[in-house]
Amino acid sequence: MNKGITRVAAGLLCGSLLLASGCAQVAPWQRGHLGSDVMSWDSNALKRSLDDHIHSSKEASSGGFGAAGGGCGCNG
Amino acid sequence: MSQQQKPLTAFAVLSAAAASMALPVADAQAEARPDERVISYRNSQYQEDDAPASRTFNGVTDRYSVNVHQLGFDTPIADDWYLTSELQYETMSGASPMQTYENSDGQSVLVMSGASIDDTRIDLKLAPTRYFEQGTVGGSVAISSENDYQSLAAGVNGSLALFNDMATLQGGVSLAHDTLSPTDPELSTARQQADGATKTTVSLFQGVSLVLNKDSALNLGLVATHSSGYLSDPYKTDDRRPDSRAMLALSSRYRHYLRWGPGQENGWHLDARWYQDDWSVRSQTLTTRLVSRWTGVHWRFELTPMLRYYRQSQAAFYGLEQTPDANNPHSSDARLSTYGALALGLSSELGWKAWSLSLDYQTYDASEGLALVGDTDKETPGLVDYQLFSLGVSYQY
Repeated sequence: MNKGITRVAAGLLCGSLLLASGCAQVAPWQRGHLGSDVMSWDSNALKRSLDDHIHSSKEASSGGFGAAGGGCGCNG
Repeated sequence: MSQQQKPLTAFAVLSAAAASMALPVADAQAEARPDERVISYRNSQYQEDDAPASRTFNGVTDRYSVNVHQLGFDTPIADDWYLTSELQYETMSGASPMQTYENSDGQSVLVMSGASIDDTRIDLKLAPTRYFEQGTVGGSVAISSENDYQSLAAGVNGSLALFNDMATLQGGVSLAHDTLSPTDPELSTARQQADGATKTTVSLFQGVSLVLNKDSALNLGLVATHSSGYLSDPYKTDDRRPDSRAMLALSSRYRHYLRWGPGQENGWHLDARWYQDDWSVRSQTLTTRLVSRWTGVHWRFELTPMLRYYRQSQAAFYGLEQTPDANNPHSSDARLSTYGALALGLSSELGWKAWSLSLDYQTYDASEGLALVGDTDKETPGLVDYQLFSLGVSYQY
């Protein structure tokens, strides 16, 4: 599984950078929409924190949007 | 009190994404340290539906209810430093499944813990972040304490903006060490064996945020996690899980900006996650939201409907034998079965000057049939449906 993880990680990194380098440039002054609150990755930290916690304790899966630090025996 | 059975126990996520919390996707630009202080409080009522009486062995159908208080405080702490913190206090009560087995009629029988269980948990998280011209470096520490479970966790994370800030790389590592001390150890051999047992979890995170165009952005992430130690549930009957678990989650988040009129703007969110581990669990998660905001001179109003679909396949050792082979791994925990779940939510937030008031509702339904594909012939009455109601207030200065 370790080799697989390394390959996926390398693929994600290289693919993302290729995609980024190939994207049309968006000047900083054109990024106003991207800075809007409605575009936040996580708009409410307390809500996100509780939602993640409930889902990880009710489902066998966890993580995905940050490093899972463990600390929870509640995962199925 | 089962650290496996509790709906809300110690936090699983020490977020390397702490750096991405509450940030707009313009973090794909070089980040600047926030200047404001934010204090926020949120109270949530979590209520699970009763277990189905027709499938319950001892007539106990009440399940968990949890009252959650969250207090958040974010503040600059030096020229280029910013601290986010969260204190959480929970009180919980109710009964939980101890075992599920299949009877001679092919029906699943759910054995619940007899008496209502009461417990509390307190959890503190601190995450300082140092901002540089082209990126960030941050750390996080967390401590969680309850009667039968202690957890300490720490992590570091960072981000780096590239290609004229068109892309931001993110990475992080975290470590957690947990210690079990089951209540009433005299009641079972499993509880005695678990007393003092530990669990260690290491997690690596890699991600990248990309500006696709002036209206859309994409975030991709990969998390590899390894847990080792005591991973079984000492409160469940015949619960014997492997002593290690390797997990991999690949996620994507897409944001698209829409404007339908003056003073009004929208963000369409689409999040997906693919997960697998060496217990043979595979899962897929899809979440979508439409964040709509109306803004006046001193006020703002935000409304966000949410739809989330989740499905998973069962762990290799999941089974419903009443007396399973004691030499092999086994668990009848419904959370390790094949099932699917649908969550619907509606969030609202009213802002006036520096104050904001939020009101959220979420309903979650899980069933074998919602798995859509996979072996769902076995009844799983231990699956949980719940409702979550939250009220929050925050002040920024």
